[in-house]
Amino acid sequence: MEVPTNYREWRDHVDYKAARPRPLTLGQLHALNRAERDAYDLERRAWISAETLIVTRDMKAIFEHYFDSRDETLAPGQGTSRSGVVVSGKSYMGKSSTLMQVCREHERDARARRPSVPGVEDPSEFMPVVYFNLPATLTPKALMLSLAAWMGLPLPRSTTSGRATEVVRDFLKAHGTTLVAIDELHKVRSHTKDGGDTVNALKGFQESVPAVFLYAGVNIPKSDLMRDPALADQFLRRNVVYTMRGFSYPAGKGGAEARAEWEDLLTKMEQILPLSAQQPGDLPELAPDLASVTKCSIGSLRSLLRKAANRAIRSGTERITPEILHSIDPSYPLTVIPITRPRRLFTCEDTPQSVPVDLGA
Amino acid sequence: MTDIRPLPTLTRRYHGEDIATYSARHAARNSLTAAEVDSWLREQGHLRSVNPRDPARLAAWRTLGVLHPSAFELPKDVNANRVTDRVLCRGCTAGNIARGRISGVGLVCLRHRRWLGSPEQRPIAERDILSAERLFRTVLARKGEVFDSPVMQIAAEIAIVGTDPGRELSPDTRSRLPREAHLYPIQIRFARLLTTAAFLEAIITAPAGIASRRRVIVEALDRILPVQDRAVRWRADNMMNEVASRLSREVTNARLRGHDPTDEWNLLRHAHGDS
Repeated sequence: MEVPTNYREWRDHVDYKAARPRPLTLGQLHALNRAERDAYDLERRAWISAETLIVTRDMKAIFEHYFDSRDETLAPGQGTSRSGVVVSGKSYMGKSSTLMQVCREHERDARARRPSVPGVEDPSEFMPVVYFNLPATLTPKALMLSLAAWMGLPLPRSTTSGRATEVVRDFLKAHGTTLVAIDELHKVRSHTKDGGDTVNALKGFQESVPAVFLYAGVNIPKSDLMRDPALADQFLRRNVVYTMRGFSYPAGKGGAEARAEWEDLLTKMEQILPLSAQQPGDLPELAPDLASVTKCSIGSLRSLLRKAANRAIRSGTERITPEILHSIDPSYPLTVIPITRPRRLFTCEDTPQSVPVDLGA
Repeated sequence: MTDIRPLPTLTRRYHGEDIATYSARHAARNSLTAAEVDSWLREQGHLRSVNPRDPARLAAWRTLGVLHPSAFELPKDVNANRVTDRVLCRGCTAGNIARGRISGVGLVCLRHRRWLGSPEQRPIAERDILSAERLFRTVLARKGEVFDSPVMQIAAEIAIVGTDPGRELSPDTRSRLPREAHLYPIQIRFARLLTTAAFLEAIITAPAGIASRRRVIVEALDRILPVQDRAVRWRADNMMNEVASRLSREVTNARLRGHDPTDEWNLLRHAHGDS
């Protein structure tokens, strides 16, 4: 997934809407002439590579936390700190994708709500969302300079940390920013001096900007951010940590619900695949093997299915088969294992933390 | 070297605005100062000179503000009259303080009916002042005169010394607008007179000598000055004669010495119809 590195890319990212190709039967596909077929394939490949939305249980829970936090910021000038949300989980669980999805929805909603007067209001004055990856080297000044650079503000290196913070804060306030999303939070090392200062800077920044703060990072409760207990405690008191559960595919009667959830995910993914010969239920049938190969990671699954779909288009099979999956990942078995006899057991270790989550329907 | 990209919030540049106020306003709209942006430009190697009007700096700020390539290319002079930097009409700049150079505009903004001269901008309702500005634009500006050219300054001085403030201005208007504004119509009429080829010919090369020149000047003053009070008018008379005699002397001396006359006030060009 391409991460926007500045506000222009972010706007392009938000504005981009992949066009879903019209579904064609195999007969209709073969009736296309060469040029039409090339154009159709290009359209399909663009759709496959696009970040299509698949609502998962984790996503619903994160949205709920975001709504809670957003509602806290509705009354301006409260003067008290607002709680943010920290999305934690293993890598390839879709943390960044979920975070970006929340940000996209927030930006679209904010833009739609904002009254615009043609010719009077400059759209460039409005920046409801900042989505930002933490830099590798972290000091309070580096953090603020990176944020400024993301927003396109040319601050010189000689700027003091205080001034950089002031510029960023004033800019966000002036441009109606109501959501600040910071990814790669696990890079913060609270036990070092710079890291500790950065945690304090983040804390102060979060308190001074009237916006929802969302963070994402790998295994935050066990990360270096938590190495200094006092700082970690301060940080966690201001934010709700949600640890993504991900998916699992356990054997036995007790795992029926988890298995159904995984198969439901595969069904949703299958529905968005623009393959002419793909039959409903093809992917859920491969559920145990896909669970085994991808370790129930949604990121790995998406990556595998994208490649498989593109190969199915190129090869003309127009269907994701075990052979295609095996050609991409040799660990994928060529024989289909029936769902009633799961071959491999896999369970995610993570469980939700700190807050009970209503998963909804 | 990082490429220069436009600042996130764009800022409109007003007609005639120079880089000094534009850079300050554009930076401020992005929560920065112009010095910070210049410092960044220097760090990135885009800027080497400290000259605020360095071509590289102008180009950089054009990029930062997505401005037209000709932005900040302001007129330096018009027909040898220097175009002075001044505060632009607050109405045209939506209340912002912007400085720049505009030729072709006198001391009044006709669109917003504002007095642009010193000491501060004020709204104008007087029709004669607005008419005077129209006259400036249609006649004097076309002859290459600017709002503070020597001709306009001489005309302003003659207007000041030739009128009685107590008689010319009613108490209510005196408090609202500066005296210069009320004298603007008279100033424009004098400036127009001084740039008329026939008048210049008459006072420089008066065929019947000094007496003839004095008569031409008296007739002109009679036409322009509203109060026929000799106690006040003699100063204007004196000043006009002083201007005329200096021009005449300069032209005569130059002719005798066989070189071109020095056009101290950039006025003699009008005598030959150069403008």
